[in-house]
Amino acid sequence: MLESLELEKDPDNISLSAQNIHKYFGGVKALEGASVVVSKNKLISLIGPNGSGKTTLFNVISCWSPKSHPDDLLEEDEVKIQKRFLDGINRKFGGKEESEETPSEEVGSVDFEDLRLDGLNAHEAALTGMMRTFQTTRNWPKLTVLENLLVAPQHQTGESFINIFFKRKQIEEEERINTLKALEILDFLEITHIRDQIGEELSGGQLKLLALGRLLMTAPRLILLDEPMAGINPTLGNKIMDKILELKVDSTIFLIEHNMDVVFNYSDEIFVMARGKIIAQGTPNEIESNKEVIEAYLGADY
Amino acid sequence: MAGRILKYEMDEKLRTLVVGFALAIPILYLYIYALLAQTNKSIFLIGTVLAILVFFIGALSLDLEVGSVGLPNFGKVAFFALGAYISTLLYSVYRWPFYHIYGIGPIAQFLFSSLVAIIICALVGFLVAIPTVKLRADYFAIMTIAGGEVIRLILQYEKRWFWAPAPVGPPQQVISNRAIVEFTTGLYPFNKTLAYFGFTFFEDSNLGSVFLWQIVVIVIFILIAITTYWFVQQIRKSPYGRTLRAIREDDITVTSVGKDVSRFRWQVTTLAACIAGLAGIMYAMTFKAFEAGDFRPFLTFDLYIFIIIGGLGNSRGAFAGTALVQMFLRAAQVQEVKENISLYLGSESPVIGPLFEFLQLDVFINPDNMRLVILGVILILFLLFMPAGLIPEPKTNNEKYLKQLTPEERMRSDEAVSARQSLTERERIGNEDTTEPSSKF
Repeated sequence: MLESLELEKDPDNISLSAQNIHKYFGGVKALEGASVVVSKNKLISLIGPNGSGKTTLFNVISCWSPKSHPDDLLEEDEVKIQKRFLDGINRKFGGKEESEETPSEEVGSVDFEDLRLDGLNAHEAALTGMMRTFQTTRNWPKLTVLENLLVAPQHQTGESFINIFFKRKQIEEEERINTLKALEILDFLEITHIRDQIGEELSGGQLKLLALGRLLMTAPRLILLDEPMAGINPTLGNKIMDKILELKVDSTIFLIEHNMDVVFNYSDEIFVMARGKIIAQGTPNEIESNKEVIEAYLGADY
Repeated sequence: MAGRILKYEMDEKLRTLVVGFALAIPILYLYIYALLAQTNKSIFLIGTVLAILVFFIGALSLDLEVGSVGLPNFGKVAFFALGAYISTLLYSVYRWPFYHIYGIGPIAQFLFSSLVAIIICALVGFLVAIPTVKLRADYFAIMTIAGGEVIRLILQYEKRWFWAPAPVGPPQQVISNRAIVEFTTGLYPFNKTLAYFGFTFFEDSNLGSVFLWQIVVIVIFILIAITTYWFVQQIRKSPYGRTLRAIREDDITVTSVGKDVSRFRWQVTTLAACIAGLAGIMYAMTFKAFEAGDFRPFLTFDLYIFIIIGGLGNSRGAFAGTALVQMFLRAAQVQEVKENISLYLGSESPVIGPLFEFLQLDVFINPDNMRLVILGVILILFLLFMPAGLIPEPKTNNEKYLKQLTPEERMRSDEAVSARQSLTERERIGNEDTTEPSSKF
């Protein structure tokens, strides 16, 4: 069933494709060959029991932690490790093209549109147009809400040291445009009233919305949301989901969520993870009736 | 009780005023007492002003790192040392051929050696920054304190390069900066007192005589201080400075929006190294003779005291802290202050005399030998009750950004804010009439 679904996808319409991702923490296998393919302008959910590796998958996709090599567990196999080391050296310094032959299906890969994300730094990955939020909301507590949004835009002229002194006009113009954009985003998220407050004065729900707004300032094409509704009452949660749904026009949304009502109401497609693998994928209706999913969530006896 | 009043019940400005006066009045009293005891008052005054300006620039450099980006650099003194050593050695030891052109030669040589000193400081700052900026704050502190000591030890033991060659005998460890001496002897008008030019204010008011070069140096130092202040303020106000503050608060979020945090960090560390090198050049000119032993980590801790008392992340605070503490330190070292403001605890003192005789203790308590205790107590009190310092970092507000908008856009935004505010207020009370505000923005 898995293969058939992947074949249906139009290769031009794929936003994110993560193939065969492994991640080991010492002996703990957090991800064992997880693969996801996300189509453009869809709302995709990733669900699974706690500890199934959802956030780890997000971390690997957004380059916050490097993925492991599938051989990493076979450390006694020194020959393999040596070979990989030599391969790496060849690739870096020797300029030999042999390394191209390393089968990428075995190692796994993360592609965002046409870009190979493996090996990028976290900030470089964010510059490609793929933005993420965190499970625990983060913000800059001593900056005002407006400033919180104004820090976010990428490639600002005023962020280069030399330009502070030589490109004042351009910086001013850019700041004006960014301010207008920030005000629009505040209006869109319906949190205009906290414009002048500073970060540490905000409530949990406002922080979630602010994190979303910060991410919108960069006009991302793919948004990874790690539990956007954690610790939020259902009314506000639905409001946030409505806002997220509106973003589908411009960007793809990939989210982790534990609230099943929300997931099944809003998603176009659902991935189910368990024990570091994707065990099922499909439309909400298909997932609802999938026996494996019920087993993973509620136990085999249910 | 006093702490609680300071913390919660007083207006911030009033608090600054009260604490500022409570701190400034005893220090000023001590300073004026010391000043009146001097025979040549103008030299004492000028020495204080020069020291304040030198350490103000050092404090600015430290504040740029600690206050703006949150990098606790404990190796600042190394750049002081590098600036002082390289500029002095280049000026007085390794001379270039143009030196002997009267008037211009020495000044050009001096400017050249200062420039080289600053460039070397920048290079060393960059080299130190590259491996350290990715560390967590506490490890960064350990690394910088170690790096600073390494540089000091190199200066102390590398005789071939960093010891002053003497005309006779082995090289000397003590370096003397001859810039001011040579300018005053070589350039005739500078070694005259102001009275020579008909300006007799200092002599008339019984302050002793003032040389022209002293005034010139003070003016130049003030110009340098103002320029550095302006430079640092420009950085703080710009989008660059805003991102620096964001990094100070949470660098993970800054990375997540696609900014290279370590680029910002090494840039600021390098820049701060340049400014500290500048302060080192001024240090060498002001104190004239120095050796590697003068650049122990205590100097860095002094700078920390200045900026914590003054207020982190804020240039005016750095100046206030530097001025107050420097005035106290200067006044405390004066002989008359030591003798007249002192408490003797020993065998001859009343009531507790026998106890001290039994303990075989003779204790003199005066401002000079208590200065570290006094500064320590002040520092602890500040950290407990006024962690933001005497002049706290100005609260950020949106005025700067909203000012850029056209009046209509501005008005629309303000209306939207108040409309949304009243709406949420009604929602909170539970009123049914919660229609969406119609204004766009």
